[in-house]
Amino acid sequence: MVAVEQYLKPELAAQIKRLDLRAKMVVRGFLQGLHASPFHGFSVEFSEHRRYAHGDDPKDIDWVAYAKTGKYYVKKFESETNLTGYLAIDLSKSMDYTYRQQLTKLDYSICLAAALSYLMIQQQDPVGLITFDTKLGASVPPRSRRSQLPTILSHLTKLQVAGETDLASSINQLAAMLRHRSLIMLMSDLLTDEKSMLNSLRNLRFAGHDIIVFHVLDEAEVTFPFQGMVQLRDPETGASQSVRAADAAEDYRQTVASIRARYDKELTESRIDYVPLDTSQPYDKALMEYLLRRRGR
Amino acid sequence: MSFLHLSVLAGLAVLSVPVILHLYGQREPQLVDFPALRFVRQTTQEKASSWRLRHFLLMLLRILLLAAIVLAVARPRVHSAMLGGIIGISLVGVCAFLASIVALVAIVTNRSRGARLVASLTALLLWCITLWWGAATIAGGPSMPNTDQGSPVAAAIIFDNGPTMQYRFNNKLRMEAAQEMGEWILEQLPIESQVGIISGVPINALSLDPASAKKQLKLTQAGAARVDLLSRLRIALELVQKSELERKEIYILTDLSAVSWSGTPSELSEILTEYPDEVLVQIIDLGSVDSSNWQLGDLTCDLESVTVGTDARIQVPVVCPAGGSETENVTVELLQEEQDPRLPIIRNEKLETPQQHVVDRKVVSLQPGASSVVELTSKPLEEGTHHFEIRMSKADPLTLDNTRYLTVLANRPQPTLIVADDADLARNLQFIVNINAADNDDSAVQIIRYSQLNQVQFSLYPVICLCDPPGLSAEISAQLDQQVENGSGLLVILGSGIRSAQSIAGNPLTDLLPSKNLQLKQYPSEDTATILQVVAPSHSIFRMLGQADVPWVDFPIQRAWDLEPLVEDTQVLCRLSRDATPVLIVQQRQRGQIVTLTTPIPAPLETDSTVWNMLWSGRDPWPAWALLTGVFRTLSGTQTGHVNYLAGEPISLNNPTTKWPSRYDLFSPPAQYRRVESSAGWLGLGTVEQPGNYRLRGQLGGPVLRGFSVNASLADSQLQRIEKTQLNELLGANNFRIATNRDDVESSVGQARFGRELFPLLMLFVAGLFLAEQFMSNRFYQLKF
Repeated sequence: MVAVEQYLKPELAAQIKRLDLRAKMVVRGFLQGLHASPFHGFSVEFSEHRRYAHGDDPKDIDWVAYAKTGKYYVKKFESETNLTGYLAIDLSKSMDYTYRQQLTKLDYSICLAAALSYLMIQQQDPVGLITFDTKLGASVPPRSRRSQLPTILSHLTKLQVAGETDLASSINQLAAMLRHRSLIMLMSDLLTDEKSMLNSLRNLRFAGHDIIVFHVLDEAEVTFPFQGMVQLRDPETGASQSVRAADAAEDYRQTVASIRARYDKELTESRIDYVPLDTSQPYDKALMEYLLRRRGR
Repeated sequence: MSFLHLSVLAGLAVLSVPVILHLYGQREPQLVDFPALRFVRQTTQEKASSWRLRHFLLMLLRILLLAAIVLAVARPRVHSAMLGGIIGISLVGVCAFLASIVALVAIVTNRSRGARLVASLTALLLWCITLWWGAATIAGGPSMPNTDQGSPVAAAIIFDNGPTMQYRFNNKLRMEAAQEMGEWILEQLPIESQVGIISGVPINALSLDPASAKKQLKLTQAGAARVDLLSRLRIALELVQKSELERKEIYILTDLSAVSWSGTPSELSEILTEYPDEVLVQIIDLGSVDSSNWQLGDLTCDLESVTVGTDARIQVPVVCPAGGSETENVTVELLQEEQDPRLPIIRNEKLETPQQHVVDRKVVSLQPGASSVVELTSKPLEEGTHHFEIRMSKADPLTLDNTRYLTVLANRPQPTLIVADDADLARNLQFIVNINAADNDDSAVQIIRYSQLNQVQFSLYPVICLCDPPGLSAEISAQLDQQVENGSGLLVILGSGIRSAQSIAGNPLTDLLPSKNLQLKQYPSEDTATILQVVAPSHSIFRMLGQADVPWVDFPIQRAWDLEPLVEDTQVLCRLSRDATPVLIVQQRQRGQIVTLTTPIPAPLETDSTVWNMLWSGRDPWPAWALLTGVFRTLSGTQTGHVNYLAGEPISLNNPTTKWPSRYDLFSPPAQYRRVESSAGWLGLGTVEQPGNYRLRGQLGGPVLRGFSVNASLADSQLQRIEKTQLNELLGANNFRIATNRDDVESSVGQARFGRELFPLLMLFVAGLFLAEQFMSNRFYQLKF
């Protein structure tokens, strides 16, 4: 039997057809792998006891429970405050790309969004869903009810790529739409106009929103695994170019690394979290980023 | 330029393959969706241009590689003279190609305008130079001869069979090496070739096929006489030019001895320059550069003909070769042959000759490079022909000049009648006639006065001398005339005995003279310009005078009888230098001859102080003595012509049939025999090349032995080699080739006949292109695993 931690691996998680189960398994796997409670010191309510396990911080031992039962228990907490989260997913054509024919960037983003939704609903945080391509698309208003999860998952399963991306415009619309301070988790390949996109994100940040940018790229877009002569075609614009892979690979990797570094620098300066991902990376990195951001509130 | 396999050039069609592959055969790149194309574009924009350029260059390299391979297989050849130019053009072409690549790169990669301009102009300039140079070389260069290796050749093989070709090196004579080389050359010639062997034998056309020429080649022998290779080359040129065959080749097999190349060039250089491309002149050097040779020089003998009982004195120079470091002793021996009437004879293909005995021996010490004259003396000689051999104890590679040969005649003095009224004159003449006789032995010479003439029986005297005759009676004149016609010799010395021209007119004496008219000519005593001038120096009378410069100018003539006009059948041997007055005249009268001297020698002691000439004056009147001796010997028949010759000289012996047989067996060294016959009193034997003693054996009431000797001239056997610069002057620098062995000949002839192969150069080019192609294609198709 596959350990639940294994479901953090996208290729394994993708084998679970039902998105809700997939989200559940991912989150459980994630939580299972957390040896030390990331919630310590968090402003959360106590929810239950659990048996002390090796690796838990002894400070979390409930000595009263120990006095009563003679066994070690640690306290589990629930968030005291509600954090309204928006999952913003890019539906541009470029997101429907996979080189290995296993998991497109959109699939990866959906799975990640589902996992995050599951996690947030579990914490009774209101979570909503927004999709966009050149403009904002369908959206699910944020709710913290347990019924919110099926609603979001239902929307996620129906997501289809649309057209080109105009991320800046979509973010601007999102900024205009949001009235309360929220946590916006943007999942996109960011293949758009860099400058305007960064400006829009900064504007959104200045409006008081927390932003996590999950920069989702296909594994091939990071590693450039091609060989020989290849004709590369942009699915959004239809533009193409023939390159000799050996010539282009090294420079391309450096370019991608420099772009990621630049995004990281620019966004960090604006106190926006930037999480570079590719479709081969496990989900825990993204989930951890969310929890760290949650703790910062 | 020409190609050995012209048809292979059709293979140049394969050059289209890389072009077609480049244009149409490129594999379509795999189409891959790639949303992050914008990142690719940022990095590969420049590389794509570079890639296209490199692809083009790769195609260009492949085209050049295929072209070079096809050209190499077609085996292009150029004339040797063009090879340097072709290499130069190739280098400039490579530079132009590289400059073009640089220019192309500069243009494609959009370098600065200045860089592009400079690179383009440089490439253009280099291409212009390449094209101009190439066109000029091909247009102005010599054309290639017929390319078909199997086409027949008009070949003349010139043999240097001079004395130095008998030099032995590596246990082989140069001549043998030349024959082997000649045979090898003939084996290389196509069967239909026309060949001529030029080795001194007259030849009119290249009429031999290689096989027949090979047989003739084996018969060629080295001689002892110098050869004139320049004349032979001229003959060879005429012969090959006459041939209709396109390929014309002349091979000269020589040791490059300076003697053999010392003939008159006679514009040979200009003639060769006219058709250097049509006729291959290939000199094959068979002489070793380092050589050492002891030499016996040319013999000097006091007399070839001596009186019986005297000995012969022989001087011979000995030459030590330079290059040694120590003084060396050498023994020189004189071997005298016995007189044996039964020999020579050829028995069992061997020449049996009379036994030789060493009669004198000298030892000399010589420093390296020095020479010394050795004098050897024979035993007293009996009547007949005596053969000698002078040998040197040193052995060296050239044996030809280690032995010299000599023939000396020993004659009994012929009974001579001297008629003179002046006793002193008579004694002088007696001394001249019988110089070797003992003082009291004057039996051979009878001296009488003119008043005693009617008491003499003329038939007892083969030679009669009338010294300063005052006139003769008709009876005496008729008797003398009859005696001359019977074969006697008569010498008439005119002087002051004839008082005047009028006094002698009509005298029967004039019947014995070459003219009826006599006129006294006088010249001023202070005039030293009136001297004797020999006009027929080859006559046997002058043999003793030899070729030396005779100082006649020291012996002026003041008076002489002018005998003009001369009757028929007379030959003037000497004239006066001032007015060509005949002084010495010979008349042939049937079997005898009359010699007339128009000024007296020896001059009579005149009481009236009239001086006729100064020929018998001074301390050493040897020319007059030699002249009179020659006259007496000629008249007595003992002056039979030379008996010692140099190789190559025409041999002619006086052979009056009254005294000698008309037919002889000639025994030549080493063991040859042939029958010879005399004609018109002379025995003409042509020229001979082999040094040695030659013996003649005839029959005239018993065996008659005669003979002569032949030697190689010291000058002809010198081993000095001709320098390349001298050859260049003689033949023209670019008109001939020199080789020393078969490989050289093959290479040299191959280059001339078939030009220089560009195959190695092209293969080098192919290798370079192959490496470049590999390097570039690896850059394209390197795979990572």
